Amino acid sequence: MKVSKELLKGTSELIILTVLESGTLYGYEISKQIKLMSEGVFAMGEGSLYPLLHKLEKAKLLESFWKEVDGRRRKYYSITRTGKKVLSEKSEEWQTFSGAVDAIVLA
Amino acid sequence: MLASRRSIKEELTSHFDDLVFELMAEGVSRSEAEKQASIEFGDFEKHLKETIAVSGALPWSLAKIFNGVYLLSGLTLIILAVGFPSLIAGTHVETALLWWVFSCYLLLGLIGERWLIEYRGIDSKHSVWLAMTWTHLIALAATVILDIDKFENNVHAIVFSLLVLTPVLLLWNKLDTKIRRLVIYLQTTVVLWSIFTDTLIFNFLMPARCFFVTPDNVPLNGVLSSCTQVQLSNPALYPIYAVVMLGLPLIAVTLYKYSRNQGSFRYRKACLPLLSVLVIFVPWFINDINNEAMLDVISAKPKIFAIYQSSLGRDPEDKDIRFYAKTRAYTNLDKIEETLNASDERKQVIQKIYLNKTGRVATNEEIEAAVDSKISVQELRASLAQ
Repeated sequence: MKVSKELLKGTSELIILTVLESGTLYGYEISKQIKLMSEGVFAMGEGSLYPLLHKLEKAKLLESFWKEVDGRRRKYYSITRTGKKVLSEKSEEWQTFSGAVDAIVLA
Repeated sequence: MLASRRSIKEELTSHFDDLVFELMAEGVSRSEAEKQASIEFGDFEKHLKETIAVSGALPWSLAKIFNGVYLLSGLTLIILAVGFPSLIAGTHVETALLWWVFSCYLLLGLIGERWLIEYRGIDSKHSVWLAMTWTHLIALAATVILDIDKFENNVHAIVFSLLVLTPVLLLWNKLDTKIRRLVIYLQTTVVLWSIFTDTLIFNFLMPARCFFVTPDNVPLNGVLSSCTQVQLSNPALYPIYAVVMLGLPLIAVTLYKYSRNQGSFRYRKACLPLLSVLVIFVPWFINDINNEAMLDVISAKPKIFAIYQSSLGRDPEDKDIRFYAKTRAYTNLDKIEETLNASDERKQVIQKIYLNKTGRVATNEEIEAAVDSKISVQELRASLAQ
């Protein structure tokens, strides 16, 4: 089952930061990883992935560099110290939020 | 690193290619894979536009305006400096033009470095060596183009770079990427500044001893006669050879690889190699530009003009400036002032002022008093008018 875009919108930053917490990835890998980790529930399209990556980079939550692998140049992203701090705050916020939603919906 | 419009396009293209390759790996034909990838990817131009809007990349029009303003300011300075050299403002314009040239070198150094860093990735330690090599190639080119001819500065600069960058490499994993970039860019700025201003970085350790590289071994004359002649085989020049011999192939290979990249653009294929070739070879064609030290004298010109106005009430002629440049007399402005004050021309000027203002010939005592007091001709006119 896929979730609605609206629901994904509020959590996409948290998702990207979480995916990049485990390592340095390029755009295509990030979108694959999101699909894989969410078991196909989240599929972040290119139209929202790249603006978001650049927005997070501009906010200094991510940093990037170009690297050539097997003759192809790719832009890799990694999470910054500030990004890790924001991720921990957002994760906590999410736990509170999802716990509260669960409490209401599952009651 | 804030993205440029070009790099965002390359990033999206790379993503699209990945989609195509994945489909092809599943056995889909290339044309079919491209068709499916297009559907999955969506509107490329729209994604590009949205990402550019978010990233704050410099739009093309702004980049063009910036380049235009930069070139236009240079052109204006050239016209002012060439068209109005006799005005004191003109001499300041020449100084401004000289700094404009310096900023061109600095931009060339920093932009080239940024391309090289972006290509290798700031995480790669090779970036540091590439950046350092590029800086010193630019510095050597500037030394030859501007005919500074003091390669001693370059040796100091190379030692400086090694001292600054070695700790960076040792602490590589502990340093933030911002710090790494900052150190690399600062190193470039200091190196080019030292070359351009003819400053020896380690002057406090090893005062300048005026080494001149003279492969033809022609004896040095005039103020240079106290300098030490250095042969091309002198070990002091080995750091320079190392940079050139190792750096040129390194930069050439990197630029070649860079230009061969998938999704590469016309500017990378043509402009970068062309730029590199120009940086290296242009100096050989125009290396006579400063043979008579006319570039070196520029910074002293405003003061020379002021001294002439004060002592003789006129601007120096071109031949005067050439003389001061050639003999390096501009390095001792007090001496120039002293010579002009004691000159026959100044005595004649004083005499003329006395005639005009008082209607009589000045006595020898009055002329000597005016010469000794170092009073400016403007002040003398004003005092006699009262």
